[in-house]
Amino acid sequence: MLSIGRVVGLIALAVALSSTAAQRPLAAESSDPWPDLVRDVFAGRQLADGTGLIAIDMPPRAEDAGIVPVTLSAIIPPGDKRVPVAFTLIIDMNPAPVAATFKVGPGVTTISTRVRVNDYTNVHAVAELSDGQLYVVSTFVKASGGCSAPMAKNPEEATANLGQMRFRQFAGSSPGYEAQIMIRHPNNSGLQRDQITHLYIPLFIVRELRLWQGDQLLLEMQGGISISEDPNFRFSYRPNGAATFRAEAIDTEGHVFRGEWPAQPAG
Amino acid sequence: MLFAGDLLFVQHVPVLDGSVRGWLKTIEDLARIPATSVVPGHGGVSDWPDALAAERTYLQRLESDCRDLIKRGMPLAQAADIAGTSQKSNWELFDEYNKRNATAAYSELEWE
Repeated sequence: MLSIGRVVGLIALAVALSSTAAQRPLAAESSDPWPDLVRDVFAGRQLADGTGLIAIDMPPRAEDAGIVPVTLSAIIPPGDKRVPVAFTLIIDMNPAPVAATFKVGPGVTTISTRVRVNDYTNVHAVAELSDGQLYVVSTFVKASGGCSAPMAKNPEEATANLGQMRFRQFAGSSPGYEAQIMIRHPNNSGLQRDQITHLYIPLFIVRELRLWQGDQLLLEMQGGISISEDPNFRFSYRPNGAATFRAEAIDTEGHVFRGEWPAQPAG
Repeated sequence: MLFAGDLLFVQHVPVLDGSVRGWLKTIEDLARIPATSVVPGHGGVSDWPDALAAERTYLQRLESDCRDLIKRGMPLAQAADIAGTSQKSNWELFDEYNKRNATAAYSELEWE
């Protein structure tokens, strides 16, 4: 038989549990990292709604959380003279949310890359346009464990090919000219484990990448741990008649990787 | 009787968790193992080495589709929707895994 005291105790417990449950949605709401990210990443600058000016394209559910394709674009209407100056990609719930920032040169209105997504999360694209204003759009992605997903390549192969670069040009592709820069680099997030020893693999990432068309800086990337293994960036650009493209990348161990390629004739 | 583990998928679409080229090479090595039947990692006990054929066909198609799409300059996001899809009717759980497989194969093969 339950004593009155125990029954009261059980009721009190039940009430306590149900009120905890009722508060859960509130708690989740208040743990939204975005307001703090705006303050920390953009020093509290005003972010205007970027709908109709910029876009972010990502699958709503990641097929492979370690390689999630993402495209940032400026979709500025014809007649509007503004152009993008910089893009920032933020994966809110990732352990280090700023995936990358890009400064962009002439005609770079679209950038596609591949990222690690660790959890169900909002992903924000922030663009600075030539009017000096910041604009934001976001999307929601369902994924799990992307930042700790094991390396796809074996470590020996990754070391042997470290820093190898490839550059491709897609002349005349829609909507204009596109190019792609790829770097062989494990881009270890610091959250992956060695599959044999189960020890954490130390952080080892490409932190900066610059690409010039002739003497003109076309793309400058500062990357975090969310950029997938073998960093890969495809972007639109405007040909300036230069004979070569040149790239330089620096990783967290101070290695500098360089590449140079002839420009394909415009046409 | 051969126990093939997840090197052999029967009915359940293969799940690529590594190198497509490496797996195809391994399939040729496996095929030389003398056995009359096999316990696959997924699917029922099957005749050996006949049970390898469907998996080999799928991975070969995935590989050749990805190579072709990379050559044509199609970005990963679009290519993952297309590569391997001609094999759909041969497999169960195809929609759950094919895009993931295509993503892995494409990112491997674009470095060839």
